[in-house]
Amino acid sequence: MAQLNDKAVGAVLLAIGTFVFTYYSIWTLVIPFVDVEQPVRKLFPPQWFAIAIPVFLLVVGVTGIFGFLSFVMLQSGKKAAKKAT
Amino acid sequence: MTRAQKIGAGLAAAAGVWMLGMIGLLPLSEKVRAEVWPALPLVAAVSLGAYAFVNIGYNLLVFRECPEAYYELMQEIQEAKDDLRAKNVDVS
Repeated sequence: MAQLNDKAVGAVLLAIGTFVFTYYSIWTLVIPFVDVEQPVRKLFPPQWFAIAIPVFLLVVGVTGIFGFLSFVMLQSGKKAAKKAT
Repeated sequence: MTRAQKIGAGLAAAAGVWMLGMIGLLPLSEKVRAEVWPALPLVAAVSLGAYAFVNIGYNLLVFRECPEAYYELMQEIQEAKDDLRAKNVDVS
């Protein structure tokens, strides 16, 4: 049932999106003001990761996009050179 | 002003305010300036990504499948194929 499959994917995306948003917002905007001894802090990794993980993902993502772009452009350049000869 | 220009201007203004905060010209408490303020562009990027996910997911969930339109379309495709076949066009 393609309809159910689509709805399942949609529900998963929705859940991931809301979870990531709330978790990250609390991590960066709320946790710095919570004392170091409170048990809530145990739910969140150290602040260093709050910066490191998104930066890492962004770098990987941008590299992937540019890599794919250059790959496609090189291939089309090769094809044009082949056609010209 | 096009929409792209509006968004670009908004982004530039936000970047300017953020820079002011980073170099210390805004009255921020020490904890905010050291720990929260530098992370704000990342918060914006992550929120944008999460918003995209939520938007796509929600629309996938509420998208109504229209069986009547599906049958009608299949019928029209069949009629078109018969029509073309009658005119000696090679369709599957």
